[in-house]
Amino acid sequence: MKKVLLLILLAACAQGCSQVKAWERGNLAKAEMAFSPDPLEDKIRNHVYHSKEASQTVGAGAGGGCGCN
Amino acid sequence: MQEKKPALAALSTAAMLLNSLAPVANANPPDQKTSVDYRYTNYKEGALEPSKVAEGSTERYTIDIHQVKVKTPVAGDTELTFSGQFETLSGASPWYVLPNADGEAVQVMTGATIDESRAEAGLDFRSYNERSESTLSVSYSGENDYTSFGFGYGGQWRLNKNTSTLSWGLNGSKDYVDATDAELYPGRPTEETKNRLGGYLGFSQVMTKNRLVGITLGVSNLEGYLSDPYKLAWVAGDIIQDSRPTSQNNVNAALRWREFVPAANAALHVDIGYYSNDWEISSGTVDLAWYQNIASNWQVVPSLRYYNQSAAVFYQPFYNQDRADGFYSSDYRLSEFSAVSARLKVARTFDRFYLNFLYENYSASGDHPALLSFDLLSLGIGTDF
Amino acid sequence: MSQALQLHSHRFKAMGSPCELQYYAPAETAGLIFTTTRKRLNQLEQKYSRYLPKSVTSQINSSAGSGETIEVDNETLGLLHYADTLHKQSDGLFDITSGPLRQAWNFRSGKLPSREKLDALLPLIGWQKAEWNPPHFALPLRGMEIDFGGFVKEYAADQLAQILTGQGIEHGLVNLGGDLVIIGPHPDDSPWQVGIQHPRKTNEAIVQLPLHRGAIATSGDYERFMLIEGNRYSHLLNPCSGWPVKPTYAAVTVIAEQCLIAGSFSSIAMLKSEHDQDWLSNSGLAYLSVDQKMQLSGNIIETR
Repeated sequence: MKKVLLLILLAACAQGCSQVKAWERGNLAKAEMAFSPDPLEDKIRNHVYHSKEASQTVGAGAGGGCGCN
Repeated sequence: MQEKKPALAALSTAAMLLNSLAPVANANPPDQKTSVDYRYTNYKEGALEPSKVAEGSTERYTIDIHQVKVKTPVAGDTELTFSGQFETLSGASPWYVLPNADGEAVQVMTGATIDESRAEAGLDFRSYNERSESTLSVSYSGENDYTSFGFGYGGQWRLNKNTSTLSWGLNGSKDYVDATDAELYPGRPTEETKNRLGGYLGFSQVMTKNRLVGITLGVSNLEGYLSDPYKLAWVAGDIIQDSRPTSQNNVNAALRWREFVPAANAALHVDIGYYSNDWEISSGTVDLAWYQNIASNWQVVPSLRYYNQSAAVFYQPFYNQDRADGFYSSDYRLSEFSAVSARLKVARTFDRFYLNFLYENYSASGDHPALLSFDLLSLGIGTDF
Repeated sequence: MSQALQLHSHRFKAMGSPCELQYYAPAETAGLIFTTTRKRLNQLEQKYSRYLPKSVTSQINSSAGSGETIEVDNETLGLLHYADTLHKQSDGLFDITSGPLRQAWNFRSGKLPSREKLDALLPLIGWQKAEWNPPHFALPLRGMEIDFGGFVKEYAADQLAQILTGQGIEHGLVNLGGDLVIIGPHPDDSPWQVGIQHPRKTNEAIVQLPLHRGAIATSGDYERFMLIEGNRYSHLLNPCSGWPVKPTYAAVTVIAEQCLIAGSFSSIAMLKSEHDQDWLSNSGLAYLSVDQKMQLSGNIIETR
């Protein structure tokens, strides 16, 4: 799986990692291009997945838990 | 060849010093706006098939969740974010599994309907520099039987003319478990604790003017009471308390790909996750989302998530024999299953605020009789000024 | 791959001068680029204008003679250090404490100041009198003042050029009242044509200089002056005597990598030319001078 991730990253780069100029980043600056465009939505969905599935992933923020029966 | 003339040398040096002392223009500072966001979510678990329930209600949890977030600038380069969450839940939950006359696993649900509430509050302090930023976070979560205190500290370095970002963070929590009705149910834990410590490293890169890709690697360790205080296991006719190891080590990796498609005025999100722990659970997640802009102020976002996990080494729906290691858990969360969820979000921005509506349907499939399905409805609204 | 570049030009007034930004960028980014640069320029103006009571300059000036010492921020420290260097390199002619002489010299009046008036002001002038123990600064006498006006515009031009470069601009220029920084040539690699003000004819260029990149600044005896009985009295005052210098040149233009350097050398060359005509040619920089007979000389290759 990790190898797959690495390959995908290399593939992403193979198409050209040319330096993107600041003024060319208009599209990248759009809200929908953010890693997390809606933090509250992500928070609630991740909270649900986290409490109903076994995976314990680590991301930014405080690591508060819950009872989650 | 030509040596620098004294006046030029002296003034050039002074100019160089001046330039090094000049404040550099911020690339992407906190926006100096106060923003307020609110989201209401209704989460409703699907009823279980009656044939799979030996005893108790087939109805499961319904949760109503209110979230607020208020972000406010403190100074030109710092901001404070308060977030609060309040949820009320009611319903029955899976208690234990036993074999029926045919030897098939059937679920026993908790008898009484549980009514509970949970309150969570968090504070993030973000400090920004031209090349880096860091955020200090603290959080609290309280239920009548569970209390959690969390902290986090994370940072980012922007490199390579802001086309690369290196991020890192540490976070942890201390949780206190104090099960209700312990006097009625001997064996339920009281005054147990759980410690969690985690860290992550991430790297993201602007690949082209329409592509941003990031990877994150995380590890965490949990120590303490990791069992479920309200779940039991059927072991050769005996009903015993859910009992899991007191430590768990986790690793996770994530790849996030954002691709803007100018021809469609849309953005594609591809998130791939991998997770593994030393209970021999490993999982993979693929999440695809398409952010379609319509006109200047509408957005429709269909998305699809697929999740698959393997079972914990000690998991069984029920046990015909004792286990040498003494670990027993029949929790559906530790079973092997896969889940598909489909979502649709519609968002509209107005001059002064935004509004969005989200629907999600989640459905898991596998061997456990109480595998989860749920519907989630959510309404978000927010403004900044 | 790259979007079509458009030429954007913004004309506005700042620091008491007509200013101009010209650069090539895609249309949608231009607004942001312009606001970012304007913000920085406003910030510098607010911070160093001697007319604004809250500026650093005003704070220092209003505390003159009070015995109070002001702890300056890093940027101001850099500017004061630069002023100190200017003072040394110009043998005391470029002095940011010369401001009080303005009270005697009103170039609109057509009258020379009285001897008494100048004598009263001269004791208030002299950088060497300032108490400068970085980062602490104080003016010991009531009525003393400092003014960064002699080079802050050039510094601002460098700062704006740096912001534009940081935003990915490769073709453009910054012009703050004639203090110019050329970031890079037009996208077809053709140079910008920089007109050098004719010292005696308003709004007319004495020469056009094609410039691909670099900074250019001009100092002249025509900026503020009065003619009395055929004698030209300009704003280029000698801080020791309180009287205008009699420069050999009508104007000096200097080209350097930084506008601050170009501006400093053109100013010092004007001030020094009364007694030392070789200082400029020995400076090691590219220059163009116009003498009082409007004859051009210098080491810049002319193309008309």
